[in-house]
Amino acid sequence: MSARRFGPRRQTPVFHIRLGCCGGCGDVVDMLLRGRLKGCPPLFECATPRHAELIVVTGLWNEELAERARAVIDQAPDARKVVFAGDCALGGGPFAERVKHLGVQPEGLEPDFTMGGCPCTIEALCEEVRHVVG
Amino acid sequence: MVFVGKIAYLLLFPGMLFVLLAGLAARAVLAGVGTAVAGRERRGAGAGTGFLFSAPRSECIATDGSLHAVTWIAPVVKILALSWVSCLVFGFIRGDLVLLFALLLLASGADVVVAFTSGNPRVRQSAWPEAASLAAWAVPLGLVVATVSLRTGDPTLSGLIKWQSTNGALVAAKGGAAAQAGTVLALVAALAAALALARLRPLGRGYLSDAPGGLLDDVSGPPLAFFIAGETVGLFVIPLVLVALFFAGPAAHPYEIVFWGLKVLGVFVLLALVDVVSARARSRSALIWGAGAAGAIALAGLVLTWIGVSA
Repeated sequence: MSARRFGPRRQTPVFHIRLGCCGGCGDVVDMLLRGRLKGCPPLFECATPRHAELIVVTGLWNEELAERARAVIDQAPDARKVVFAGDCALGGGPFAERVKHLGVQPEGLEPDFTMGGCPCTIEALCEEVRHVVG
Repeated sequence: MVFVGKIAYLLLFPGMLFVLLAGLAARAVLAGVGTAVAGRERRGAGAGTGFLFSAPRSECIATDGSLHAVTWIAPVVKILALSWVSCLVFGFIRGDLVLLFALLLLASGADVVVAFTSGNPRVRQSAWPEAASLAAWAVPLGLVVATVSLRTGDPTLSGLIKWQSTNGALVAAKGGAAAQAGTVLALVAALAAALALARLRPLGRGYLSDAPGGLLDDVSGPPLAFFIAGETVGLFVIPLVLVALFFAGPAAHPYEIVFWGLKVLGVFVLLALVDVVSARARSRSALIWGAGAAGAIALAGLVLTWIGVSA
């Protein structure tokens, strides 16, 4: 057991926006936040977007949710990074033909990184997070 | 010149800089206790430290108009008050137990003011629980301070420490069964009060360990770092106060100072253990029962000590 394990480590505050869908990608993000993958940068879920350095969006976009998600993301500091995770968040996925679904990413909301997959894999998401948080 | 010297004490040693560094060490101990008890690294244990260094560089998002100034001023007042407490305990600035209590009240009251003045309705919802948490430690600790003063017959902090140098640590000092029992009860109540004051579970409302909708939901940027710094400072200063009240001894030689440090560490590890094992305690129930029990125990301790001293 290394001595480092006992010291406080730099943890990246993450705010997770679940837009709603099958929940697969959301569960992958939860697994990452709870440290289920060894070797991933330490993350923790913050209670408010004001503390977030990284915002992860999963699920399907529709008009109402897009507006609210934008309001949430606007509350985060300018330095935050936004990741859209999973096919649904990228405007695709098996539910893309549903009524009211935007089908594309909402305008004016540009992610810093995107990652597809249905659901996205935890290893790929970890790799993406590693790039974002350094 | 004396004034400048006192400012230096307040800002450097044993004030702000010292208590902040010692508080960071306390945070490391807290994370370590969590790791040791849970068997693996607790995610979130070191979260506050990250904010301490990253938040000053990030943007401060203001929403409350003129009241937003409170989020800048309150944590600074808290850190200053706790630094002053540290100076009192180390004897660099003179003061009595009433001043010590008032400074702790000021430090904790700053958080309550922030909650009440917030423009965010979710944060304002937490204002009354914050006030209840303040009462949870203030009532027992007030009675404990009265007990300690009654037992030693000296309301000054330096007098209290000197008394313990002569008669042994207060908790073990001879002076009749009733007075001894009263002091032990006061120690138990003080430990419960320290949990609430240091914002440790189950009585305290941790800035980052509590449920969403807490005090810091509306705070970002440098004020967030100040708040975390205030909490960090409290993790060291509160065990220090407890040791000064109950376990103080001479500190004339280097090995005695090291022994003081070990006593502070011991008290903090005990508080950290309670925090870790009660991670899932329901905060409202814990607050009501804990605060009620601590108040009753402190009152019983005061009565017993009064009987013991009067006899």
